[in-house]
Amino acid sequence: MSAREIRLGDLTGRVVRDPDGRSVGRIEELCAEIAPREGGNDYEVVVFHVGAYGAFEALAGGRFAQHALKRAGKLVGYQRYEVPWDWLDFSDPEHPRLTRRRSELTSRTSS
Amino acid sequence: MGGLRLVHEVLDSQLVDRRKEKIGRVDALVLELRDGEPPCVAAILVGGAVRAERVGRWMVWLNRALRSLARARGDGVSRISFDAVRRIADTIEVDVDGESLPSGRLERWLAEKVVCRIPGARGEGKGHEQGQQQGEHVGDG
Repeated sequence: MSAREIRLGDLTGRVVRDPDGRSVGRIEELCAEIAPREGGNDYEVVVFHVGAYGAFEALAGGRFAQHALKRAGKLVGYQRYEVPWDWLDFSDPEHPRLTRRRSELTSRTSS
Repeated sequence: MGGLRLVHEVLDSQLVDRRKEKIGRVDALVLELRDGEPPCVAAILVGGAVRAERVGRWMVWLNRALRSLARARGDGVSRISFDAVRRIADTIEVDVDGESLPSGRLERWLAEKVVCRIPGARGEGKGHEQGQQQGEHVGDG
């Protein structure tokens, strides 16, 4: 695998931080769309879903815990943000950074 | 939001080859990070070693032990270019020959050396058809 390739599983669960270094949430889902190119199609990731667990963020490391916390919904203050691909900086894929302010993100309270 | 949800709709989906034979599941997806362009899905990884990494260290160890027992060469991971994907529905159809994939070797070895020795697996006595089907499922991965 080249240096510019990364596994999906290495991105999901990563904490996304805003320009001030504050946690926005964890990457939960990647939405891809077909982009035609010469000789075929590419599936391009255009939106990342980032889930925030409010005060329960520290407990949301594992997949099981994330599912359980999502079920609790409003009780734990779960919010999901839809982040366009160009609002995220993956120059260090282990520490993805948001290039915009958190207030600019679209929030959805349901999972 | 439309589009293909990679975690929910692609990861762990059943793969079928060009002959519609089951060849395993999507154990991992490889993304290509490109400067100034959205990341794109580059490849599908299939194989026990990749699956084991997702489960935990103990499963990686078990997988290695099984592979050395079977004297398997390589890591048994198949990398299928996402260009080979023909259809994404309940299953993901890829334009490859499943028999040529390294990820199926361990399953084929298990089917041949272990499952076939289980009484009934070759159709002895009752459950003839059921036994055969079970053997086929293991071989399918």
